[in-house]
Amino acid sequence: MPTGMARRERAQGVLFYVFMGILALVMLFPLLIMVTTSLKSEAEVYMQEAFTIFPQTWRFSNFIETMRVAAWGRYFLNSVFVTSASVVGSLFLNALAGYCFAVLRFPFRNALFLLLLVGIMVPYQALIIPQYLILKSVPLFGGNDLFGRGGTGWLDTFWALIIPQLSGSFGIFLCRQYFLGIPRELFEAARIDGAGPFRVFVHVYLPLGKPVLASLAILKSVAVWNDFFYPLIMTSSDSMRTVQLGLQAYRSYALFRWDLMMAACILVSLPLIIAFFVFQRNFMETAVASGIKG
Amino acid sequence: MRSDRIAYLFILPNYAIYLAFIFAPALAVVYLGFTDYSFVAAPRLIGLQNYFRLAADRIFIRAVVNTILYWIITVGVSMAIGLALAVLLNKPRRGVAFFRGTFYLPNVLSLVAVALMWLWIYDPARGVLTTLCFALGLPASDWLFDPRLALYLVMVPGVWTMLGFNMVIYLAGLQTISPDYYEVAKIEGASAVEQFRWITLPLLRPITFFIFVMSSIRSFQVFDQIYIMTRGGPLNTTTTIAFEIYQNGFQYYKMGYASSMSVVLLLIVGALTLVNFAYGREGSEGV
Repeated sequence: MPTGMARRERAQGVLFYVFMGILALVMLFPLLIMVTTSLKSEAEVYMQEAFTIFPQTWRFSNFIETMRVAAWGRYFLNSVFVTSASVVGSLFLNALAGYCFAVLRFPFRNALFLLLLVGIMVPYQALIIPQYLILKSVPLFGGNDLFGRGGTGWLDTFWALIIPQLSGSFGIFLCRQYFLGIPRELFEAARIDGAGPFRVFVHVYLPLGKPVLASLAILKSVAVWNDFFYPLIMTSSDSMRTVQLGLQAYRSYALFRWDLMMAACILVSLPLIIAFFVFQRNFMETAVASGIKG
Repeated sequence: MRSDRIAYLFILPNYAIYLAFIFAPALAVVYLGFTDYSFVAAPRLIGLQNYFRLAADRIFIRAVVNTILYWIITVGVSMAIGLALAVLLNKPRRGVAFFRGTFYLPNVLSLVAVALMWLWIYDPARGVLTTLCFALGLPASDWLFDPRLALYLVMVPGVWTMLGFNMVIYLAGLQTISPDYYEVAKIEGASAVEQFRWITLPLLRPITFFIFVMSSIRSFQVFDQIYIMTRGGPLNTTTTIAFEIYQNGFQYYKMGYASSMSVVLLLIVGALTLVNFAYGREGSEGV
C-alpha cells in the first residue's frame, strides 16, 4: 500500500511538471517571439514560407541599429530622470505625510486623511482634461502671465511629468498603516531626548520604514516607467519623450521593420525585467501588500 | 495634549499637489461636463446637453458596450486562470518559484511593449499566428482588421498581463487558510474537488471580491492597447470609454463633451469602489 501511494504521488508530480511546463511555454511564447524576432535579419522576418522560431543567423547588431534610428539616448535619459525623481520625491513626501497622519497629533488630522483617500478611488483617465488645463495655466511658466494665461505653462516640461507624481494617496495610506504598527514609545522617547518631530522622522521612522518604502519604490518605478497615457497627453516635443512614447513614435517606422521594433521593445522593458529577476520576491510581495492592505 | 502643528508644514507639499492635480480636477471635470468647451473660447454652460448627446452618440454607446465586454471577459478569464494557477502552485514543490515568476513576468512589461508584441503576432501577412494557421492548414484571418474578431484579440494581451497579478494575490489568500480545514476534510473523505468547492472557494470570497474590484477598475480604463493596436477600429469595434475621452478631448478638442464622458467613467468606477467598501466589510465579518 505505501509503495502504491508513493507511485501515485510520483505520477502526480510528473503530471504537474508536464502541465505547468506547457502552461509556462504558452505564457512565454509571445516573449520568445519578441526575442527571436529581434535577432533575425530583415530578410528573414519577411520569409513566411521558411519560418523558423529561432533565427537562422543571429543578428545582435539589430540592437545597435535600433538605437541609432531614433533618439533613444534622449528618451532613456528622460525616463530615467522622470522615474528616479518621481520615486525619490514621492517616497520622501509620502513617508513624511504618512508619519504625520500616523504619529503626530494636530487638529483635523482624520478629516484631512479621509479627504486624501478620495484619490485612491479616482480613475486617472477621467481627470486628464482638467489636469491638462491646470498644467497649461500654471502662472509664470511657459510664457504664462500671473493669471496663467497666454502660454503653455508646465505642458511639455519635466515639471508636468514629475510634480503630479510626487503626491500619492495610496503611498501615504501604505506608509501610515506601516507607521501605525511601530510602538509609539519610540516616538515619545525620542521626543523626551529633545528631538524635534522632523528629526524623529528622519532618524527613527524612515529607517524602520524600509520594507514599506521598498514596496512603494517598486510600485512607483513600474507605474512611472511604464506610463503611457499621461505623458502622451502632457508632452508634445520629441526631446520630452519618455521611452514609452518613443516606442509609439517608432511604431510607424518599424511597421516595416519588426526586427528593430521588437529590439526596441526589449531595450525599453529590460530595466524592469532585470529588476524583476533580481528582486522577484519583493515584486510579488509588493503586489500582495498593495492588494490585501489596499 | 500637545499638538504638533508643524505637521501642517510637513503635509503641505503633498496636499497642495493632491488638491491641484487630483481633487480640483475631479471637481472641475464635473463642471466641464456641463459645458461646451472647445479650448479656444471659454467654457459655456449648456446644462445636460452633453449627456443627452452622449445617450444618442452611437460611437460612445459602442465604446461603453465594448468597455463592458472587455471588462467582463478579461476580468472573468484572468481571475479564473489566476485562481487555478494559485491553487496548483500553492503546494511547496521544487520549481514553484520559477513558475510563479514566469506567470507574473508580463506584469512588469509596459502595456505599450506588450501591445506592440501582440500587434506583431497578429500581423496578417507575416505574423506568427498567420504562419501557424498556414502550417496547420487552417484558414488565416485578417485578425485585428476583422471587425468580428478585433475586440476579442485586443483582450488577449489584457488577460496575459492580468492573470499573474491575480495569481499572486490569490496565493497570498490561500496562505491564510489553515491547513487544518483540509486535514479534517480528508479524514471525512472529501475529494480534491469537494475540498475546493466547500473550503477554498468560500474562504477566498473576500479576496475574490477584492481582486474583482481591483481588476475591474484596471480594465475599465483600458487605453494603451487600443491606442497602439487598433485606434478604436475597425469600424469602432474596439473603441473604449478612455479612448473616446482621448479622441474627443485631444483630437477633436471637444473638451466639454469629453469631460461628460469622463464623468460617466468616474461614476462607474466610483460605484464599483463603493460596492467594494460595502461588500468588503460584510465579507470580512463573515470570516
